Amino acid sequence: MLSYIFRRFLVLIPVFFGLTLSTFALIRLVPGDVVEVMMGERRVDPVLHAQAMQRLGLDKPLIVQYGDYLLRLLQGDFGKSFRDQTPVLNDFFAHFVPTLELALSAMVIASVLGVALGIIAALRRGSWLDYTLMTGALAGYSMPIYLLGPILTGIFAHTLGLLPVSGVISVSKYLDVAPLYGSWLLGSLFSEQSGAFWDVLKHFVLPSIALATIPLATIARMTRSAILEVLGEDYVRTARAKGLSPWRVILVHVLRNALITVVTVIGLQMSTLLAGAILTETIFSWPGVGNWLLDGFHHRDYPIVQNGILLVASALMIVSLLVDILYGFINPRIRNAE
Amino acid sequence: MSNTLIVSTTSVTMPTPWESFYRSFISNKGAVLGLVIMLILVVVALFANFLAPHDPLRLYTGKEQLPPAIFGGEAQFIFGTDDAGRDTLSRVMYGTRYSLFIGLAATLLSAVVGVFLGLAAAFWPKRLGKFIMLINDIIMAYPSLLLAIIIAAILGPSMTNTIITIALVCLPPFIRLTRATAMVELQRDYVMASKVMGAGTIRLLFVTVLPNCLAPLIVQATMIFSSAILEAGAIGFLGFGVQPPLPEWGAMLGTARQYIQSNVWMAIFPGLAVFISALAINLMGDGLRDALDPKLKQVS
Repeated sequence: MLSYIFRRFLVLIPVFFGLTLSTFALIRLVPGDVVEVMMGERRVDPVLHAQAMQRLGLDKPLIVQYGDYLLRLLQGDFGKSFRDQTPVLNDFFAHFVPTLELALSAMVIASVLGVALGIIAALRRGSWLDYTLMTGALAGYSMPIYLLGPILTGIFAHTLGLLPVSGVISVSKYLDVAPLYGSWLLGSLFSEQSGAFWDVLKHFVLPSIALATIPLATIARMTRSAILEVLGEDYVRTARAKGLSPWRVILVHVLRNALITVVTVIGLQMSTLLAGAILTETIFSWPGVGNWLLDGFHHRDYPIVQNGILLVASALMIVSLLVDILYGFINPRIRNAE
Repeated sequence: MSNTLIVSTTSVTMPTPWESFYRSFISNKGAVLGLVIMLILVVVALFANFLAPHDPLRLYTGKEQLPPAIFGGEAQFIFGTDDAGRDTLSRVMYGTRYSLFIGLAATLLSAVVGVFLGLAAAFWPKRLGKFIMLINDIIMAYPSLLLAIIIAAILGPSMTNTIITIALVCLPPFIRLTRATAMVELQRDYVMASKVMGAGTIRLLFVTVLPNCLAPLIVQATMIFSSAILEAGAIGFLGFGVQPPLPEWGAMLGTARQYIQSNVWMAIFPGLAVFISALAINLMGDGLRDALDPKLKQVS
């Protein structure tokens, strides 16, 4: 197992360097002069322009710039933002935590509902309920977030007024509440103002639902087919034949074996969630990593785009590595294979 | 005791692959529904100039941002109007042309390039194969929408560039699937037989191996087709795709994004169009999978 983890980790190294090279190259290929964009698309005095380029280290030959970048990266220095000179790593965590919180709450919705609906559909296989659920799952899978988001805000925020339209907290009401370790949930929980936590929770509802639809649909479909597959196994027939109660067969014999597949699917969906949060964050003005990267990109903030993508991609790779390891642990067939 | 044994040989014939495919597809109600919706969309796309009630580019001054007719708009603008007073229904209808074309072209481009790279990776697994898979892994490591935005920004906003961008982002599944299936097929005896008979590399790859990898690839391509349409909408929504006033769904969504807090209607109809086409394609994809891949059929 350890050697497997080690080998998987080794494979990531060339990908990591490929990422540094490709982000470095791609962001420089995007049209738009950095200094002019920073100054608000105005013509800049050539002398000032040259000074700014020198200050940002953009006057050197590209190969030197890349070398410098790699060297600093290997020392754990992720550089500073062009615009406000804040360390990129700090900015990343400040924005990654809200994204992670959103992704986790979407994941909870998607796993609980998805597994439950998948089980129901599998046990009622071929019934109208099965058809309805599976068509619904396909619809959820095809649902663009830029449609679902406006529908949800249209109904629950604009028309019914039950939930907030966007953001993570009602800024005008809770002016003093600040995030704790990047987390608005913690920040509001430990704040002086009562009601702040409830307010933040309400802000979580719509984006979580919007983000949860696609994983929910995938998990429901996968759970259903995993269970149907296990239901056809000989040991299930044996369990039934020896007179175990139907519930015991389902819960102990079927679910435990089907869940191996389901857990893997859930883990893999987590990485798509983290990556796919960009649209949700744009629609709901969520202070997450997607909005941060998009904003950095609009302002041609090279360090943010380069290192931000690198950090997000690394996080995704680590998540999928963890999923693989977890899979090994929960599947005795793999765990005991050595 | 009668010793006549009647054996009827005339009535039992194996169904041809096409027949069994057709039967399996037709028996899947969802797939048929998807096909019907798709045909309707194609008809709308082809005859948009006859079906659309207004010119999609005409500005009706003074009628900007009307809600749909049943929600207090005007009867002549059933789906309402956009920020410049253009009829939303007509734009969505014309948009079918552009958006279906973008999705289809991106999928085909991605499939051709992906299959080519995947076959190469399977056939020369040592150096070239490793290199191709490294590129593949790097593309996969990116958050796909972000990569799409950067590429779209580099290439500049146009329909061709949107197609290229989406094709590039959709490459990895094609490369991986082709490589995996081709590697299995390359071990088979018939490939060896073909080699022994002196087939060249090109023939071996494209005539001997590729046809046997096609079934999963076709299923994959339909799934990619639907995500290409979704992705085109997303790129347009973020403002990096086809630009307004061209009536493309993504471009319409991009305009709608600026008004998303005040007027949700503008985003709803192009979004709905994307949703309906993606759903139709996915329904068909399910049917195709059941019809082409009997192994999966038993399970689902």
